Amino acid sequence: MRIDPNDPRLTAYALGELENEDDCVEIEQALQHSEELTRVVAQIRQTADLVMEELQKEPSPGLSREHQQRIERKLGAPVGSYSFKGKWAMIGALSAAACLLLAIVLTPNMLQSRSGTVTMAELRRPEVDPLASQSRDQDQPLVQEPALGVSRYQAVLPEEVSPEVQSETSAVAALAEAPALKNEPNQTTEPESQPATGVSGAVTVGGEL
Amino acid sequence: MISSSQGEWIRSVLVQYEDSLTRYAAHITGDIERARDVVQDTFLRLCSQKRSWVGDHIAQWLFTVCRNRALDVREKENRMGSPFEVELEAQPAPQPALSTVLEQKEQLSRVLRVVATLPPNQQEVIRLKFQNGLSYREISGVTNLSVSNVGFLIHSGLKTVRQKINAWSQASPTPMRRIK
Repeated sequence: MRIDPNDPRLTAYALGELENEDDCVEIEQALQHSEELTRVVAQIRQTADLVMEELQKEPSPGLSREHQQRIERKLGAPVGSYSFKGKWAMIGALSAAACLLLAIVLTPNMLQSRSGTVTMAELRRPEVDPLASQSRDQDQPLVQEPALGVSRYQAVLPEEVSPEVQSETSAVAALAEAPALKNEPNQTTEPESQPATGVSGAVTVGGEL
Repeated sequence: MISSSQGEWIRSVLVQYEDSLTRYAAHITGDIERARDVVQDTFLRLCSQKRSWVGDHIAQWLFTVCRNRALDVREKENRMGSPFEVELEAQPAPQPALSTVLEQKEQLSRVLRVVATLPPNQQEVIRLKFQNGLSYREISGVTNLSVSNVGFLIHSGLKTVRQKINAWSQASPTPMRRIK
């Protein structure tokens, strides 16, 4: 069978891409009897070599450093779904970090509030002069940050305190604790009977009553 | 988590194919930065593939993913009125941005200039074959063309290159290797 010099199978044969055994046999037989086909195959190989040589010289922009780093980050990071164990480990670590942060923030406040908290014993001390103290600390806020472990009922005045102090303190307490007072009308109950909450709204008056 | 052996394999694939994929994507998108994004996306997708799935046909997988992504990007750019309106089937692909990297155009070989005049589909299969070393069958897988169609395009492209180089050699005073 005669093969056309423009047959694409000649190019496939010249490039080693002819997969069909029958086609290979046919072309090889034709090449043995045709100088023209032999020359065509040689030309195809020569052109292919030239094109390959030149195309492989063509420079490539390649990836930028940023693109390479993004791929590298992906290679270094977990992909797909996290493992169950790894996820819980991360949750545990975040919880521990949150607790530590909370402790760091609250500890100074607690110490500061504790130093300014009025206890029943302090209120009973005769040297305490609440009016003088108030006049001295007018610029300071009357209601301070709640103290840890101290109930707001510790601020309730005992019966020994003078009426002026009692009225003054009651006014401040009413101002600061109005909602609470609505819910707890009996302010004069014994403070020890009320449970001391962890972070309660302890009311201090003047800081140094 | 990517295992160390998987990571090493992907790094070796990156070293081997980074340049050829970027060059290939640049010819499709017509823009180097977009080509880099395309190649980056290709390798990020490879990270989620098992080596056993793509290991024995990695070149075909990479060029297929890269080509599809590059065509998506180009199509999106065309819809947005990009200047890089390259129609793969209809007109020769311009390479404006790529030429800035390819030094001066005068320095490009005449062979490359002849290849650049071929229809885009011929250019593409010739690049995949002679620049990237893919077989007819692999090119068929990448381009969704039949193997015989790939063979025809390569045959036609090589014939045109040979004819133009011979014509150029006869007309030009500067010496050039002539294909006898």
